[in-house]
Amino acid sequence: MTVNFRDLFPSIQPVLEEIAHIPLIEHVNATLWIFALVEIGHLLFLATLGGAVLLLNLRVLGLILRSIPLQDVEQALRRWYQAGAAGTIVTGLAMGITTARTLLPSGAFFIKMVALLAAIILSGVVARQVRSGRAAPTAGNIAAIALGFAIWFFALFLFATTGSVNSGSMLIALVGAALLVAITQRRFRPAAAVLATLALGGWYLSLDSLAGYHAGGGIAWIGHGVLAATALPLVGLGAREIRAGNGTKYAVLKLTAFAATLAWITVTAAGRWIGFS
Amino acid sequence: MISRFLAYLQYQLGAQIDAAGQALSDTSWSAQLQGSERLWMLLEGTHVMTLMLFAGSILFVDLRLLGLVFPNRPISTVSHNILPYTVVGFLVMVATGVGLFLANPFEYYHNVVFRLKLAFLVAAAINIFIFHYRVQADRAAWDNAARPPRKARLAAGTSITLWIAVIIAGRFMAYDWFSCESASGLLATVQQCQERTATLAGLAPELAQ
Repeated sequence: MTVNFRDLFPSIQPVLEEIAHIPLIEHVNATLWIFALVEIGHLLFLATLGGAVLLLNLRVLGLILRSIPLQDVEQALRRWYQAGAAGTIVTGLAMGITTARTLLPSGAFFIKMVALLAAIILSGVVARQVRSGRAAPTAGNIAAIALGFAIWFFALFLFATTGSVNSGSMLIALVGAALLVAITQRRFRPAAAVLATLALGGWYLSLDSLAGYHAGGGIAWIGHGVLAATALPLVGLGAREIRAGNGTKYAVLKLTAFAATLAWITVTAAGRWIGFS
Repeated sequence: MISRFLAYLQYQLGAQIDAAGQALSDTSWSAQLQGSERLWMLLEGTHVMTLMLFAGSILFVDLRLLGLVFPNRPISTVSHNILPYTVVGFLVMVATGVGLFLANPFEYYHNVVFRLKLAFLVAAAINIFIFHYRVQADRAAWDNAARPPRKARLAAGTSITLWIAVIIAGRFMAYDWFSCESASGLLATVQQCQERTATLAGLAPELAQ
């Protein structure tokens, strides 16, 4: 199954074809080094954005900079986040316009756009709630979190079930498992690391069964079994830490920060998989 | 000698051998890695992802040294908290980078952009070494400074510049603008294209067509 913009919105194609024939766009398309420069700009802005998002979310999760108040961290990182996001989107648009014809039928590009929407919503909630200084989320923020999660889960579902790109979803599982291990208490960490490794093995086998080219139904079911038997306790350990200790009242914020981090990872992974699909 | 060894890695190591004792094309471990259904994609995807972790985290340590972020917080607080993530990112990035290199070692070796990337990496490592052992020797004196001394800012600026150069070189490796097939003059000399040709000629009798 592949969901893409070309099939969903057929009327976009002719418009983008016209844009692609604008002399400047044609020139950029024909001049490879200009495209390469924009691509490098995209990567550098992505690193800035990624750094700002990651540092704030790790701080919310209580993993770094604990001696600096949460609001101060958010304030210090805000302009870098904004610059990174703006730069990434502008360079992404520039690349997108020149390569629209190949992006429209791409399942990975559709996933990237869906995940981008979720990531912006979830990161926005984290930043707003930290700025407000309130532990309990407002009704508006709860609605935004629910919407962000729903959109992100939809992106994940598409990623895992689109045959040509589903190996990319394994990267998100990898980062998610690493984050869960990092937030787990030190004494549980070795167990969490083992569970994460086994879950990823199960994930790999399960993906094979989803893609249709597998070594047989038996192996696929072993994969499903290993995944379920290891991922659930691992997620349980993570949930326990998110709700634990003094941070209980910030549980929703922590969960949102966790999801926001992985939503940005989904955006990056889907972006990379555009080139593979 | 390096060229010959890397050609062996790329074309012969793990390859199937036919009745004439020649290595069959596209059967070496390198070729299998590059043609793999998932492993290659996962390696490259992880490489890019950890590049984001590494570059994104070291950027903010360098920005603190430049006085552009968390100016009212001790430099040691920022660096001690963030650098462990930078190190993890770097280690995974190097591991996946080695994996990617092994998919095409001979061609990368004779690629000027790859050589530039290695040179920038070495320069960045030297910069870290100098910062660690020389620049921050008296850090206690300026740990709380909103604007650290010139030597620290210089090291941070150099670090950002070099890592950007590494990223640019890494991205340009995907293009074959400078390959030995079309290179001449200084470019061909720097990439040792003559040695590449000689290696391939010497290897030809051992490879099945």
